[in-house]
Amino acid sequence: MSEPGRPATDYGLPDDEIVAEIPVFLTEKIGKNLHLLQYPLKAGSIGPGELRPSTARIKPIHGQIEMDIPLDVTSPMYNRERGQELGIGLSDSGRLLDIQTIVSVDIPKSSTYLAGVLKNRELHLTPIEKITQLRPSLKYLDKVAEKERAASKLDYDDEDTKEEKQVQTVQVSVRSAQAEEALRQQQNSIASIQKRLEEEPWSSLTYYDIGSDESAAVSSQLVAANTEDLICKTDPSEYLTTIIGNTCPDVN
Amino acid sequence: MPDAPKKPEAPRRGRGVVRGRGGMPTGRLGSFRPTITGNTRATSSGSVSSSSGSALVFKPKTQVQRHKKEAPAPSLLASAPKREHKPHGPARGAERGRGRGRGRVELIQTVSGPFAQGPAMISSTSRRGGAGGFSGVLAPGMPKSENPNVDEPAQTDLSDPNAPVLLLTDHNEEITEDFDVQTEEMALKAAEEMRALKLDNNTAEVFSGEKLLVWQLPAMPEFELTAEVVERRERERLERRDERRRKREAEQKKTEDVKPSMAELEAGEPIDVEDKPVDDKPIDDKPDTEEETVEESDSEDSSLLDGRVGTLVVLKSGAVKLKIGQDLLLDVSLGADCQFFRGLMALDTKGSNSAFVLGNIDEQLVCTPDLENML
Repeated sequence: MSEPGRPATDYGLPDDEIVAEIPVFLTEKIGKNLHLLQYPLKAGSIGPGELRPSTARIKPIHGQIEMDIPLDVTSPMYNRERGQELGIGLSDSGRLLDIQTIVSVDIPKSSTYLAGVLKNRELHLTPIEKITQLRPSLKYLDKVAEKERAASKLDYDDEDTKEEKQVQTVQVSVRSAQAEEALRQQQNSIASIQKRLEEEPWSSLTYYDIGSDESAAVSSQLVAANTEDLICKTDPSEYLTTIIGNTCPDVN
Repeated sequence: MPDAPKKPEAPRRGRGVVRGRGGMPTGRLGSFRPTITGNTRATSSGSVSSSSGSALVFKPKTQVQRHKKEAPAPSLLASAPKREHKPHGPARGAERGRGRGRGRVELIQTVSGPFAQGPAMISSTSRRGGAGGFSGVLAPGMPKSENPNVDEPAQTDLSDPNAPVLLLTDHNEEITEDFDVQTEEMALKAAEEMRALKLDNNTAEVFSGEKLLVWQLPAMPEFELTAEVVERRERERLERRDERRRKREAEQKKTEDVKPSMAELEAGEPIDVEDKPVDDKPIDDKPDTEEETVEESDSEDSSLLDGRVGTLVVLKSGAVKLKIGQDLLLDVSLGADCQFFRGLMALDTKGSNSAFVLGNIDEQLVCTPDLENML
C-alpha cells in the first residue's frame, strides 16, 4: 500500500489521488475445476446452509450435476395434500414430496471470467472454467403423469400392441462416404446429444459444504503461492485487437 | 356487500404470515365489528331493517365505507413504521389503509412478475423525494396488484391472506403527472451528475475486508512465468523425482522378500504389502506407471501460472483502475445488480467425484479497457 493521497499520474489521471493500491495475483492452480454456479430461482440473500443438498449426482462425461435439496415438510407453509399427490412422482410408498431436485445447465461464456479473492488487501484471481445454472427439475411431474397414464391403461388391452412395436429389423450395410457424413451430422444433432446425455448414468457426487475442512483446503488454492511477477506478453494494441476480434482489415 | 367480515380476525391472526416489512395491524378490522354486525344481518343495504324486535340497527352501505376510510386509517398509519411515509396527504394514506393491504401496506414493495418496477422507478421516485418509497425488495411470491383507487370493499381479500400487498405507484395520477413534467432537461442533468461522480455506484467500497468476487475481463491477456521461476520449478520437480526414486528403491529392497521373517512378526512390525498401488500389473511394472502419472501431473503443475500480474488502484474520486503488466489499463466498475444466488464451486471429476463449495459471490466486477490512457 502506498501512502494515500499520491497523485495518480502513473495511471494517467493527474488530477486524481490514489487512495489504495492493491496487488493483484493470478493463479491457475484450480482453474480447471472452478465453476460459477448460478441459482436463478433462489434469492441472493439466502444463507449458504439453505442450499445444502441431501444427495448430489454428476454425469462426469457431460458435466451435468443434480442436487436434491430437502424441503421443510413440517413448515406451516407446506401443503401436505399436494405433497402427497406429488410425492407419487418420487416413490410409490406414500412419501411426501420432500426434496426439490435442481439440475444444471451450462451457460456459454460470453467473456472471460475469473474468481477473485480479496484478502489481506490482496486480490487473487483464478480463471473460471464454466458457468452453470441450476434450475428445478420437474421429473417428478413426468412420473406422476406416467403413473396416471399407466393406471388408466390397465383398463385396456394394449399390451399386445406394445410388444409388437418392439420387433425391429436389423440390416447390415456398407456405408458410403455420403452416408458417413450424414451419420456424423446426425450424431451431432441436438437430439442425439440429448439422447446420449440421458443415457449416461448418474454417478454419486460427494458434496463438501462451505464450512468443511475439505472446502477450506481447496479454497486456500485460490490464493497464489508466488509473489513474483508474471510477465505480460500482450501489449495494448494486441489486447484491443483480441477484444475487437480483428474485424478491420487494415488497421495499420 | 360486506359479507366476509363476519369472522374477520381469527383466521388472519392465526396465520402469522408477514410479507415485506409490514406488521399486521389488526386494529382495522377491529373497528369494523361494531359497524358490520349491524349491517350484514340486515336486509340488503339501504333498507330499514328494524324488523320485528331484532336489535338490528340500520346502517346504510355508504356509512360503512365511510367508517372504513376514517377509523382504520389513523390506527394503521399510527402503527405502521413511518419510514417510507408518503407526503401525499390523508387521502393517499387512507387509501392504503383501506386498500387490499389488510393493513400491511405501509411500504411500497417492489413487485415481481409482470408489474415489476425496475431500477428506473427507483431513480425517478428518489428524485421526487422518496415519494415512491421503494424498498427495493422483491416480494418472494406473486403479489396481487391492486388498484387502490377502485372503491371496492376489502373483505374479498380475507380469503387470501398470503398475498402480499402491492402498491400502486404507477397507477396513481400524481405520479403520472410527475412523469409528464420530467423532461429531457432533467435527464441530461442527471447524466451530468453521474459523469461528475465518475461512477454511478460505489465500486470503490467493494474493496475492503474479505470478499469473493467474480471478475469479467473483455479478454484474457497472455502471461508467462519469469525465467527464474521456471528454473526454480524445474529444480524442485527434479528434486521431487529423485526423492521418489530413492523411496521406491528403498521399498523394493524391502519387499523383495515378501514373507515376513519371524523376527519381524515377533517385533510386531506391520507388513508393508499395502504400499503397492492396487492394480493387476506385475510388481516390476508398478513403480514405472505410478511414476509416470506422478511425473506427468508434476510437469503439468509446473507450467501453471502463479504470480503477480498487476495492481488494483482505488482513487479518491471513486474510480477504480486495474493495471496489468506495464501497459494494460482497465476501468473497473460494479456489475449489474444480481438478485439471485451465486456460488463458487470446485468440481473434481478425476478420481472420486467431489464438489467443494468455496463460497457465495459477493459482487461481480466488470473491466473495460481504458482507451484514453492506454493508447
